[in-house]
Amino acid sequence: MEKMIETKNLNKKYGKFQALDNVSINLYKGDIYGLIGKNGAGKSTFFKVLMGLSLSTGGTIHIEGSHTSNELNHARKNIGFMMGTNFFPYLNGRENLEYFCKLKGIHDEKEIERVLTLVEMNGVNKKYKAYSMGMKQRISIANALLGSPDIVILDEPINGLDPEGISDFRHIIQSLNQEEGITFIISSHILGELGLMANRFGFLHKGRLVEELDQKTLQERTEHQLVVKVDNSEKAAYLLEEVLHTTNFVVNGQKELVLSDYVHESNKVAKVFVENGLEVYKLSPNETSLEQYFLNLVGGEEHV
Amino acid sequence: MFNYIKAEMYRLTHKKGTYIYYGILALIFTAIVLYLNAEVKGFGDTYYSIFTLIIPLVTSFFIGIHVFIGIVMNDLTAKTLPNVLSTSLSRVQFLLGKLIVAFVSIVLVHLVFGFLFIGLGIFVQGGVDGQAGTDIVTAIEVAGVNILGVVGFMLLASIVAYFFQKSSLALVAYIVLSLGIIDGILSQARGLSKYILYVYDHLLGTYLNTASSSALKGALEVNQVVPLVIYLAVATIVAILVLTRIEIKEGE
Repeated sequence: MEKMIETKNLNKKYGKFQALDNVSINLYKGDIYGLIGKNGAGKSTFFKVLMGLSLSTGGTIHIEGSHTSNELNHARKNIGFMMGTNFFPYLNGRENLEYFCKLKGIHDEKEIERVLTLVEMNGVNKKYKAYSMGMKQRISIANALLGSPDIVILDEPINGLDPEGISDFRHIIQSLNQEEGITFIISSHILGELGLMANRFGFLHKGRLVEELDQKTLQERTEHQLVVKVDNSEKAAYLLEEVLHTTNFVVNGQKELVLSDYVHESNKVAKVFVENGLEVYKLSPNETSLEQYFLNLVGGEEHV
Repeated sequence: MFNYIKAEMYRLTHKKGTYIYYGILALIFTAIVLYLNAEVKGFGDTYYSIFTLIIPLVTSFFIGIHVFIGIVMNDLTAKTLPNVLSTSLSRVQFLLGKLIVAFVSIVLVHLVFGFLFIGLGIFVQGGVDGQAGTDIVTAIEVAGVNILGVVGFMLLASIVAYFFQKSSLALVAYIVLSLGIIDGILSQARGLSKYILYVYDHLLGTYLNTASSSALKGALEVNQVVPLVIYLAVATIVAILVLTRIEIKEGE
């Protein structure tokens, strides 16, 4: 698979404080990579170093196969970047995007309309300073999408968006990823949403990348139990013991059982129950949330 | 860099406050000239000599501060530096771009006010006399020195601006430099030590005053302009060194 971004042992120190500690990340073409970490874990520092806003104190960065600093700088042209919602307050959203189009050398006159339509801001003409937080966030996302870059880096893109805006944002990212092949790296505090969007995850803690895994592995690790709802839990318990030979379950009331075996073989459980005349109302994995998984991983209970 | 210059010119020309600000300055200047013309006998004969003396002092502050706010401070107050500098625009290109945009902006504003100045001169003198040509050349020389001075102060203040990335500090630095506050203090203290005298002799303000005085007398020499150009070159290099070494603070 084509590597879009590769960092090797990336380090960043502020005095004695180690903001990034040997961070090695691989971002492949077509990824939607969720970068997860608490406040101060180093997510924004990582993005700043990646984009050349901050100088690393060790390690290497390769973007789309770049090897020299000139190649790296040139490769950054193919990255759309969003960090914060900062634009010129006296210009409107369209004018701000026009400024960045000129700066990026984008001459397509329809480009601004395209990105404004994507973020549903094409009818808004007031000055940027009069925008709500959600509108600022949308313009910021639009700016990162200008010119259809190969890679888009979004630092906390859904802060300030309402639930509908968050859902729209997810659809935009997924459709751009699938239809235009844009690779995304996204950090967010809203891990539930990130869990729905991303196909790979990196967990950053105290400047270290503690784990990197894909959606499938994450799913396997977070699916711990199977919740079964039937018309007769007593009979279901009997079948589990006698037919499926497991006692690894808890009866939860008259109709529910929580099973710790057969988590990835729920079809076997369903078959046995149905064949023995049980009505099955529900049979679903009881997942640990992404947030809980992360907190378990880093051993903390603070907010992400 | 050319793209950046185009983007900056687009931004500055779409800032409505700029037109309002310069419109008010032009109205105030016109009103003062028309008032003096009506009230002071023989005002027309002294128009060029009076205003060639006063205008540089006024413009270096009022035009300079506005250009400085627009070109240097707006990036800091709007916290747009991360957005701008993450577009593969190098920091050297960024600073040189700013320098060129500053020059173009200041020259454009001087041209507009220059036409207004000459237009009002023709009006108050009732036409163009033989002396007008000489007066206008003197005014152009004064304006040229003035432009170099304003850009010089901007560059020096931009070193502070980019080092601290704080708009308030940047503004204070520009005001202190352009009002000659440091020059004034060192002027008072220059008798105390030969080192203070040396520093005072080599301030941008000192070179600027020398060149301005000569320009006002119509006796500007190249060797008076050279130190100003050297100041610009050195300040540009220092600003680039500062900018390439600093951490760009992220927006909120």
